[in-house]
Amino acid sequence: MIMRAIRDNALSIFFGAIFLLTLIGQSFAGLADTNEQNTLHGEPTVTWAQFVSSSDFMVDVSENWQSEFMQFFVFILATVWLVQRGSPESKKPGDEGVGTDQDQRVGEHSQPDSPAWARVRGWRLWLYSNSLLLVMGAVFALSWFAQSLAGLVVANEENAMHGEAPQTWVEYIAAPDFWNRTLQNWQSEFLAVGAMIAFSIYLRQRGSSESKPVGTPHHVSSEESD
Amino acid sequence: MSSPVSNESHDGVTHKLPPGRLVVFWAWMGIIVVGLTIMIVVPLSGA
Repeated sequence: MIMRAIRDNALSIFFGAIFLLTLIGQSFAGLADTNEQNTLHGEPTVTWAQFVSSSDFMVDVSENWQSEFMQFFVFILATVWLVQRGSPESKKPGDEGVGTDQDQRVGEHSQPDSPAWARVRGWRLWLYSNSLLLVMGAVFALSWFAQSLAGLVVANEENAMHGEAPQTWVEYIAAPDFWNRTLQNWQSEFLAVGAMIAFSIYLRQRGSSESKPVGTPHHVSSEESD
Repeated sequence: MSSPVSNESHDGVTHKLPPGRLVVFWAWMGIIVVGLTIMIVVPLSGA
């Protein structure tokens, strides 16, 4: 029973475990880096507990969170309207758009075991039809907001050390530091997604749901939609 | 392609997801909500 539950949810459990391990690893590496800098500048070192509850740690975590959720937000939205012939990440050319109610199995086209809000009409169907994009977008917006708050605290600590006046939040979100942190993460997300879309046309990984089956022709976009 | 909802818990009336998958869903949602809350509250407190 337990072994079956673990196997059924292995992908979620695996990513949850490596998320926590890498976050803990980041906290110790960040602590060592901060204390190295503090020692160089003749400032007192901080404990692990002080570091993980500081804006220094929060800005580093949040700037990566926002970019990952931004990536999925853009990817989910773009794949509604845009296609890449031959990519398993894409619908086939001609299928662009939100699809018919019959394709989407909603309302009178729903099945007995369809989700409850897929079987009704009105605002509940609209909300459920866009729920993945809305949640990813909300997490992106909130983590980007968190990055701006934590980045402001860190920037103002630096300003104070150099005898400069503190910035307001509005000044900070127009500042180079905020956009440097933001765009350095965004560019890498777009590079990786673009490469995945393009490489998966011609390259395969046998057994992965992220790949077409090895023998599928290059021009076939998605096994399920063809 | 089979339905994403397994028929192992199909009750014909309420069509609930198997409990294991709901636990996974809410565990991830919990991680994200707690993480976002901490990342917003800490800088607002000035730490």
